[in-house]
Amino acid sequence: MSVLVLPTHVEQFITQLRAGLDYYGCELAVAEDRLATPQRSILFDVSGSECPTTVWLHQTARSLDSPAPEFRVRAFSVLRDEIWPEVRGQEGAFNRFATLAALTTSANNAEVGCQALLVPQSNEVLAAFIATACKHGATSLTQAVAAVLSDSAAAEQQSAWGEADLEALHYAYAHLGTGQLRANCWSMTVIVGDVLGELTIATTANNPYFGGGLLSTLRVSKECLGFRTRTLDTNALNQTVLLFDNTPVFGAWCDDGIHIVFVTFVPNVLKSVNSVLPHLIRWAQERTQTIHSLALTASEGSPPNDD
Amino acid sequence: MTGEVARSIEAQLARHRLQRIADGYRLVVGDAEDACWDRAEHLLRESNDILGWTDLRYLPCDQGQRASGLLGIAEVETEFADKRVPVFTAYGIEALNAVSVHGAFYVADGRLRLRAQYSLYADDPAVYLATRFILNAFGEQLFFGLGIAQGAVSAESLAAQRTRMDVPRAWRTHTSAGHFKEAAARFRRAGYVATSGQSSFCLEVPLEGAAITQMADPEATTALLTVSTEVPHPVAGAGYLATLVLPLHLTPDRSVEACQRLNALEMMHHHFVPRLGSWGLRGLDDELVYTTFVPAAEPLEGLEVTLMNWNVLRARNVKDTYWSELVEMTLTDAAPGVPE
Repeated sequence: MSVLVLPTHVEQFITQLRAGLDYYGCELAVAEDRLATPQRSILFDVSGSECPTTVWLHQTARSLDSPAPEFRVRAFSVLRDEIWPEVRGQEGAFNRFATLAALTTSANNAEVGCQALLVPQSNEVLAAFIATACKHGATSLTQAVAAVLSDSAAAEQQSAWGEADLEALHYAYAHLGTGQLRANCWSMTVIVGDVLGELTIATTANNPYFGGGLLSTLRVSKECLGFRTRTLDTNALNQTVLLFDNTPVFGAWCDDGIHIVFVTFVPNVLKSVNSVLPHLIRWAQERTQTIHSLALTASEGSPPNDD
Repeated sequence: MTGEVARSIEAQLARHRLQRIADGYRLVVGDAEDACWDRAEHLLRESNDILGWTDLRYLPCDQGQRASGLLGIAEVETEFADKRVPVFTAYGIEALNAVSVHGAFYVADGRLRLRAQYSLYADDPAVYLATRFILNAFGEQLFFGLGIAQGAVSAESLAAQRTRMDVPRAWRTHTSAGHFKEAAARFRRAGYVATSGQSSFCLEVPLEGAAITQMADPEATTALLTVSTEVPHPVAGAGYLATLVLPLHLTPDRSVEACQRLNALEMMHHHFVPRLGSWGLRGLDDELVYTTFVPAAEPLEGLEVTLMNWNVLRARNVKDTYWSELVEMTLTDAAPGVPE
């Protein structure tokens, strides 16, 4: 590790990430330490994952001269060469089964990735989600699609979250006046300016890879984003949010025709992590706020100047 | 204590075996045979099987207050037996207050307590309702308080409390959406921006500036008030939930300090709306919210409007009395010594 000192919360995050990976039998090893360079970054290799996986921790460009440096973490698994030609152009269909990472393709490869800005209060959730994404992000997606195509989905497993969790959530956010509780599902309307998002958090027993967990979807009408008649390329959108979004990206955007939908699946194994549900809600609120400009960026191909 | 509400309470309590204390009654829950009290009703030795006790006291008011129609204050306070409740940090207490029922949690003399107050007036227009609120708080405060405190420890513990309480979690008959539409219209006629849904209605109370709603101006400084009937309490089940959110962004230390202060100040008021809920912290951003939950197995005529009225008066009181102090707290660090 570099002699340069990282902020305490970043050091703590790395420790928590190592512990999370250890739980899955994976290890984090420094591949390149560039903390002393102007880029201020560290590249880690993750061993024990089925696909080659790297974690890249770097200071954001906008904070390089700041007294309060801001760090972003990105985790990517590269799909095997023989897979990517098959998934190219099918990202939308694949991403419907996204768990904690998004599939994106380029001319040369296909990756499954996630990213987040590090904030001290969210270290536990971020480390647990990234560790799980490193181990299962790519496999859960490809195997889920394979299972559905071969009609051999995983056995159902009861969600670790239940009625009591959703009721407590409904109560905790009742002061906003926009939540609704139904059987096995809680939803909330998020309105930011002209953009209206519908967040749904549902207990799920039949994820094709994991079985039980929590399915979170944020549905935003394409019309309110100005894409009623224009095409919104969700592959470009996922590439954009993985690069620039200030909201953590655990999951993927996909298209259901009328809406774009951000899908996250949180497996049962993460039930013991503190504050998962409040984080899903906060991220949905932030995502609703930023999706308009990010969708425009994705469609125009010019990055926002904020990273 | 005189007055119709007090007489009604006395009549109902006369049927029960209760310990008499100065100015009121004590309900000890658990086997209190070994418990030992001094003459001032302080506990000298705690029984192994005691869960805690709830006092209903009538606090007198002075001559001037009596002249204005106030008869006194009914105070319901529970002290929980030490070994029955987990230890909470100051922050934990205010998070607990976001789900409290029948009052506000606080710690005094190292012991967790829950306290509610109801000002009694000579011309109370709703004697039945006042009697019901006070007696329900007296009878349920300890059970729900214990369930909430123990349920806060883990998901398993919460599940156990829900099973133990075994209360209805929904009404058999629902209030119609028209009911809430009419309630919202009533407040609109009074000059507030109010909207209604299937089982709830909400309105905004301006706290500063000319803007009256965030729907038109996202920068408007307004308190958001809601009353819902289909938001079951995680422990207490079906009932009425009323909330009041203040648009403040405080540091965690400052949020705790603000909650403690607001809860303490409300208990010092004599002429004030009932203090049946508490200021507490909600969500990752520690939003400052006053929450009142009224457990009810079935609808109570007009209660949604009553609860909203109370919170409108509460919001106006914050605006007139504490708002500038609270805004000041957003600009400064916490005072030293505020516990974690």
